[in-house]
Amino acid sequence: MANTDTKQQIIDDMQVVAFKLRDEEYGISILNVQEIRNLTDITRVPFSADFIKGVINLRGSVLPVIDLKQRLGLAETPYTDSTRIVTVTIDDLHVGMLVDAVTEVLTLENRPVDTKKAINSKEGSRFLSGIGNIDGRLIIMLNLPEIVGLPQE
Amino acid sequence: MENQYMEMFLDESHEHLQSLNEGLLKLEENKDDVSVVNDIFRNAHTLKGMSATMGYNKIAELTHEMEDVLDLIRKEQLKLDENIIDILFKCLDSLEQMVDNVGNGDPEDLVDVSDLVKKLSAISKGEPVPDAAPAAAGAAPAADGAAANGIELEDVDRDVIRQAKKSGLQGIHVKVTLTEACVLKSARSYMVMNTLDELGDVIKSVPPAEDLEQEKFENSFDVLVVTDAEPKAIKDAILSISEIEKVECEEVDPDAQPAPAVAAAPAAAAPAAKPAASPAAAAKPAAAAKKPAAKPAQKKTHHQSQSVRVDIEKLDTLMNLMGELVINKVRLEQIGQTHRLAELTETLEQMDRVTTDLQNIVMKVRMVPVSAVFNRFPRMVRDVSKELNKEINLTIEGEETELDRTVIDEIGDPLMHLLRNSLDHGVEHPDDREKKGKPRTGEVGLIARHEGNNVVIMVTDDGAGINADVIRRKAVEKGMITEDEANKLDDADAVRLIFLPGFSTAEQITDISGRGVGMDVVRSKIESLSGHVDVETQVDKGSIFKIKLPLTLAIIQAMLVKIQEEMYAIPLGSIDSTINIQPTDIKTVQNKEVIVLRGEIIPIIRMEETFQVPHVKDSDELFVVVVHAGEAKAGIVVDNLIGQQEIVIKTLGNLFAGLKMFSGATVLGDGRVALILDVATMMQ
Repeated sequence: MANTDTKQQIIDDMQVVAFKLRDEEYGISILNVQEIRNLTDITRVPFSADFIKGVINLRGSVLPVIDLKQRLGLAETPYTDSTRIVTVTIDDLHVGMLVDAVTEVLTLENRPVDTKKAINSKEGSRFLSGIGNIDGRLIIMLNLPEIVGLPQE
Repeated sequence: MENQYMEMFLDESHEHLQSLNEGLLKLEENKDDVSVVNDIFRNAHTLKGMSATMGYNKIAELTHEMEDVLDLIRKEQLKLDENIIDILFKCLDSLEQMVDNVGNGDPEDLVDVSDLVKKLSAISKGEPVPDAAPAAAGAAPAADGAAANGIELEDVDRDVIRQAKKSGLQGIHVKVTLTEACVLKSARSYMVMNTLDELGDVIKSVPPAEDLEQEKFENSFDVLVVTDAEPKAIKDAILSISEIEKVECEEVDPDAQPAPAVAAAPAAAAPAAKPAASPAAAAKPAAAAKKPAAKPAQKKTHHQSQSVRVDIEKLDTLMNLMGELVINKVRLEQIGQTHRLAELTETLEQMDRVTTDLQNIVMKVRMVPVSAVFNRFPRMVRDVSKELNKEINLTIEGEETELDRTVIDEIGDPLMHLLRNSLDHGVEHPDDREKKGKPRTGEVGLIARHEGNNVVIMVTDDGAGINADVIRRKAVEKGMITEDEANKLDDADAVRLIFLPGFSTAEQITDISGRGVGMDVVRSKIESLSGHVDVETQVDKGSIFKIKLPLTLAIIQAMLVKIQEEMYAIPLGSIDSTINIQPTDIKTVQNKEVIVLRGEIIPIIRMEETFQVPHVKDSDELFVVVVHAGEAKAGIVVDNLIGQQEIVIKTLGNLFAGLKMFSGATVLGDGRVALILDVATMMQ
């Protein structure tokens, strides 16, 4: 279900929160985004999956944080002043995602290119749902349910 | 009726029913206690008022009848006996069912109460109580009412008619009979009601309007109207509707004696009805004389604390917000310190006191006394022991012990099961008890008390106990264990087999317990509440089922420890002691690191290695937190003890579903998150 949703949104105009991981620009639908927070102390959780950075306190509740770069197989970079935690909601799941910088909110008008063809079937490609093109600027759209590891039909 | 009052109505109804149950039980013990009758009467009265307001007429009707009976008892015009109490108990059951139906969105009248109503009204009229009427009684009144008067006047109706008379109107009883061939009875009755509505005001109908709409009547029905129209005019108007067989109109005299309900026995009933019919007059002097005596008694009736109902989710939100507040306060304190703002620091100290109090209260709010669940058991024990023909005395202790609301909500069923088990399998029949030289009456106890950070609830009985050999045999028969295994078990362990799935020792399956689902369900429920259940038993002496529960699922006392730079919380309930050791105090036994504490060898767990904590600095001093899970002990090596603190447990969520090592996380005062160790998992 979640998968078809994302596709539907891609076909129509969609608002996208764009952010940077290293030098590449990625995007997720604004409908999934709850808020963008400054980096706070992240508590490591031993024995959890590699891509889970740990947990943070979000107004009194405990929120897991995913290290997106680790998840997408990108090399690690140190935290900077522009490092942010983007909190998203996928179905009933709330998670934070660690990104290098949040750039802007964009509107994608054209249908993004299908990633399965565009990108060689690298390990990371299942996490991507398409590539948006705004005047030559490429925005890689993320497949959120896959990233958080939710089972998909 | 899907409105915001529904919830409140249901809650309050249950509360009143509970009080009624309790009151009746008290009455059963002491039949002359007028103050209890007063209490019950008030409860019934409130319940009637509420249900009438909500439009649940059946509930109102039944409670009204109960009220009548109780009123007579209260005025000491009716002697309370076992029979009346039984009927009243049955009424409560029906009421409970009706309220439940209403809560489930079903119509209230799924429960047939006409029989009970009849019995009650017979009691209040001093007539012999009719034996259980046939099930079809619901439809009967309309049919047998043909003899005379199918409609019964209630005080309210009389008042209305009296009022109407003053303004020149009159009450008319209309009896409408439809033709046998009538197909759409509901449509016809609707037309009749409409016609009557045009001519005057319909006060009531028998059966009530909803039943008419659903065709729940035979061929005739009765309506009471207040109108200025002549009976003749009404008759003609109704007869103009097709498929009407006949119409009888009769003026109603509000001050006449109520017509006997059982029309077949007018002769017998008439004299008997006399004293009941004139209670208003007769009661007055008696009541007046009673008044001064009754007053002080009423004052003594229990003090009801004022309370507000709050959605538990709101409390959770409140607690989260509370956490935020504390965190921001800590930040302000830091600002005050960095910028040396003495004034700010002082103000914050004040604020600190307030927030601490606030926090305490928010946490206390979630606690509910166990009496909330214990309350329903006396009634259950009474019913079950009657059913089983056993004599049982239930003792409840420590009902003021408080538990977290979430635990309270879940604990009812397992406790009910244990109690039923004790009643059914534990306590023997009075004759058997006598043979064993025990008193005929069996003692069953329900005891709650604090034990450290836990609450212990025990269900005890002085019955037959559990024979370990029987359990061994059964377990082998059912193929749960082999004979060898069975023989190796000591008696205590053998008895614990009853907690395994699929084990039920009941020789014969009864309604009470022994449905094959049994102790294992109890155990899994308790364990899902982070609790533990155990049994101690002695043949012919009795059994003790002991449930140990954490005080709360939401808030626990924990020891905060530091491992390098990471902070963890260890529940205080699993901590034995903390000691300070030198690295050289750690010895190895068979390649395993241990410490010796007061002659006891305790294996140690180095958290830094287990959790792969990034190593920042060496420490020359170590602390060991000695923890236990069941009988086993272990020492957890940490770098520093931060201190004991009340923490709020938060779940880690679905992403960490497989992670058993932590029972959750908590937000610390400085806004950071610390993980809470699950000691039992860690020691495995």
